[in-house]
Amino acid sequence: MAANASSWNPKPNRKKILLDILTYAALVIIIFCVDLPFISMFGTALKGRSEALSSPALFPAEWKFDSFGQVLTGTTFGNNIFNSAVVAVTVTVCCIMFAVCAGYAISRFRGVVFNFYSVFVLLLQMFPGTLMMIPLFVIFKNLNMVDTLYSVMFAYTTLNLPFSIWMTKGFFDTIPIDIEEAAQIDGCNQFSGFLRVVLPISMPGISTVGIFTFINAWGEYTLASIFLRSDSIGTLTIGLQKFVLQYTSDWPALMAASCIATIPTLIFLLVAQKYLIQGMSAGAVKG
Amino acid sequence: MAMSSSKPARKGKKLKNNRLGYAMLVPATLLISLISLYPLLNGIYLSMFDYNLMRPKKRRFVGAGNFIEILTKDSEFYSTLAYSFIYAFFVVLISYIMGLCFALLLNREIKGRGIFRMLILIPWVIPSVVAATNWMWLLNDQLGFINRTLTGMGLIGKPILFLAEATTARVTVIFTGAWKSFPFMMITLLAGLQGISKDLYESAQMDGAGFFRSFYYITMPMLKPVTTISTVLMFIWTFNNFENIYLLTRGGPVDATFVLPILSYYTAFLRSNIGYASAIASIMLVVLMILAMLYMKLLKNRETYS
Amino acid sequence: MKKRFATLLAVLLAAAQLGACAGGGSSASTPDPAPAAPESSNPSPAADSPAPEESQAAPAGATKITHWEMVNGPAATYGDAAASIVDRFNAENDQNIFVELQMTPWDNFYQTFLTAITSGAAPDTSTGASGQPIQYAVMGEILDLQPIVDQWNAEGSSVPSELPPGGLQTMTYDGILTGIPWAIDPRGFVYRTDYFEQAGIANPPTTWDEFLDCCAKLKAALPDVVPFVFGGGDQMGGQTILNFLVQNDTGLTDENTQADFTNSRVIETLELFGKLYDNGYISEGTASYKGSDAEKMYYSGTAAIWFNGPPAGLKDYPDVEKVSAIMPVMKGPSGSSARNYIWMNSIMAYTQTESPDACRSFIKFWIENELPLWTEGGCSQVPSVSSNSSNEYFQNIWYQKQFAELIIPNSVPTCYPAPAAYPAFSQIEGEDYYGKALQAVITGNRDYAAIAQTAHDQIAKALADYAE
Repeated sequence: MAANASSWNPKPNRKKILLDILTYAALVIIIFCVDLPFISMFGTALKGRSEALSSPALFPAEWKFDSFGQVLTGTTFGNNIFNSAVVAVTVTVCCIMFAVCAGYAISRFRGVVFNFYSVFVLLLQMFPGTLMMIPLFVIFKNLNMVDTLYSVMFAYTTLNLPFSIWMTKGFFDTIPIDIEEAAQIDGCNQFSGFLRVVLPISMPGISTVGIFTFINAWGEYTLASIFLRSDSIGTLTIGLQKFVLQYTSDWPALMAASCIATIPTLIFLLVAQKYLIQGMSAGAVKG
Repeated sequence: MAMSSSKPARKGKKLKNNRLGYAMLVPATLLISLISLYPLLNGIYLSMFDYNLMRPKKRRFVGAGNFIEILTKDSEFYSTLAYSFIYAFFVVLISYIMGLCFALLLNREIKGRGIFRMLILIPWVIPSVVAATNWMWLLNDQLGFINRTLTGMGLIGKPILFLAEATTARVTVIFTGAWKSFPFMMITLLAGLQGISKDLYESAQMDGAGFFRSFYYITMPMLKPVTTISTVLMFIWTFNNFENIYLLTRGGPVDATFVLPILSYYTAFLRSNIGYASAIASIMLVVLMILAMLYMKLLKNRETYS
Repeated sequence: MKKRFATLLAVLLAAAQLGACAGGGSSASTPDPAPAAPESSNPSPAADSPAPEESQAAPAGATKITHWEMVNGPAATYGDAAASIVDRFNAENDQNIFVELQMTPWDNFYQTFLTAITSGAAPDTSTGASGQPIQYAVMGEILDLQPIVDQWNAEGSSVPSELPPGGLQTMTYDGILTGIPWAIDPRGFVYRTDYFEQAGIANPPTTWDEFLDCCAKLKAALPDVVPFVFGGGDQMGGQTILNFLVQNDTGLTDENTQADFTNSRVIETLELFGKLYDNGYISEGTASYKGSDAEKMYYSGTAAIWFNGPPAGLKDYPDVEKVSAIMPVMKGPSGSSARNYIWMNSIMAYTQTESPDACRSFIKFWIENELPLWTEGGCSQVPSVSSNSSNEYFQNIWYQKQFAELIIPNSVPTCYPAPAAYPAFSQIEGEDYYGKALQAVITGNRDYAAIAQTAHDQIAKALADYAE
């Protein structure tokens, strides 16, 4: 909690160094606790089978990578990762486009519709998802979309819209309207003013929406398990679930599979976290 | 994330070309109507029927019948509702506090901030089923790392039954729920913190304010919009979340951690009673709506007084 | 700034394009069931899907049906084995039937099936949980499979007589044959012979008293080992108590399929678990274990006796496997004979199908030719057709052999003592009312009468719901 104090401390001094050390110590301890399931997953994946079950140590005495090889050769993860990537990218792009439009409209226009739209989308989140399955299934069946990736693409895009609309609206709220008015004087119509002037300065916020959406779409399981029946279009969570259910006895292999399923997201996060926070601070949350 | 209440900069100043505005709402509205709104209206419609999937032909309109039965006779509903509240409330509270602490820590300009942020975001991106399997094994009373370490250090005499005892199980699922949710809180709060101008703190320091004073008078008020929307969203998401508890305890032991999403799932897919399940879900919707409205109103009022 | 935005827009568009193309591509490369299913008269709906590498494309004009196969064995091999049977059927049948196979995970299957059936998108045929055919038959969604049996009889086939005795009768509901058992999934106790030796136990127990005595000896001789382990936190808990219930001559209902969970034989069973818990014969955390936790504890050597099905995963732990055996069946204090219970898993067809005869042909072929599910697929259950289960393959797997000799001949179906499977079973099993009774006991509740009454009322309510 003492952290914030030093960020406005004019000169780095002994107090700052002490605080830094405390911060690092606190972070290391906390991250160890918070990531314990992840650490144990990674450590177990490196163990032999008997050791994995009997040894309480988090990491094995000798690191074995056999389980990773076994998983990579014995599963359809390559295909699953490809499907997940296709879904997540498409959903992210669509969601950004629709949310940006809607967010801009709510932020900039006057009228009952615009005033209540964001409350309306919030409301839709309040109905438990399990009961939406049957009507949703009927819709996709009528659209001939059951057992195609389109079904989950449509569903994920829609389910991510409310939060994305709230975020983008928050962004646009912080951008002074004068900028567009200036552009209109320069001969832009309002839409091209939006495209050419407002969007570019909202890029940080848009990347945040994108990252949130991407991660949600990448990790969704329930809908995918209902709508994607064929093996060839299974997403990563489906592939992982099938593996989890079948390899209860081979604990290291199970954990290796979990690692493989998690690692792409971690790399993505490492790259994306910078934009995530930049983007959010650029406006979405200031109000 | 902006609250409609706080945009003094351009109050009253809005664009006039409403036709463009409506046009820009069309794509999102179309998708939302088809995929979110229709199932929701369908659910509300079905909640007025005695409709069992095993007897689709005997479906009949009962009006408020299901609601009356739930609210007046269903003791299972009330006991489930009570824990659902407690669960969602504490998950939001704990994840908020954790998120705030980490956000404050990571807002410091330290080396390797990026790596630390990624490591803290792990709970958010780890697939639920993987997280649950690992938690169960870590918490196991005989072989679990946590119990073995604590016993080894002599801190506890006998293993803690994290999931095998009603009270501890209730607490444990709250913690795993908060564990999964706090990274979201942290990101939104961190973003909020980064949006606070450093000048504010500097002038506060010149006035002789210490850390806690500036935290109370600058940080917290400036974080209020973020706090409001992220806690409301998190409450809704947690209240409706099925996975976290189901994967860990399936609502047990002996219904100790049974929550409304599990009840509506069981009612719909095991008791096949879609009408009744829809009525439960509709009540959840109304309850959440009222709560969200009260909460936002409360925060708004406090804002105007201060 | 303009330039940066132009670049970004280009990237976004390119990404959208890529997404759209790849999305279309990947769903086209699978035989798309949607256009093909409704119009069997249409010349060749699947033929124009541009997928040259697709080996399983339906031939022109074929009658197409979709089969959902539950993942009943190791994912890597079981799916391939099921596919090989389907491929053989597609190649050999002379009615131009094409079956598309879709592997279905067990997890969440209530929702998966009920959603599809209610939405009019049921598969044509499927395997599934043992209560499933009768439950869906109540909805009018299950196709009568009696014609298959009639055809077998007409052909003079031995298959009907090789099915488990009463197997077809238990699957009959309201005059129709709702499913044909393709496998028997037995339950039993796996135990460590070396631990038994160290504790000085000469013979495995045959009664509950001997079982308690055996646990006491194990606990005394090996203080770090949990005498008995089972998954008390998921469906395995219910399965464990159900096994003890049938050993004590009772079950979830009485002979007339009425709730009967308050009788003295049930109370005795609950008391047994109370003793197991109070004496530390099961670990205190049992109520939180999933079946897979119990499995891990047995494999790690932490437990001496483990309630489960055939332990196929033991092959990964050869040191434990060599000292493992299956315990013979036991008898409760009020039991008339020693026994366990078995699941009978059926294959079924749905009335939503456009081609009932094609479904029946496929199911008939499946039952007659299912052996590769074991020999190639490593399925851990036992074939329902006795000539298959006496195949040499099973003689070489010690646990299959012991289950076949010790358990299956002394077993009753899950509906015992009711004469036939009943529709409410799926709900009772899914909500695990009897498993919750067990959980109450192993979390310290000793008011056995009240626990039994609660479960009794829940079972009675479920039965009444279906009787409406």
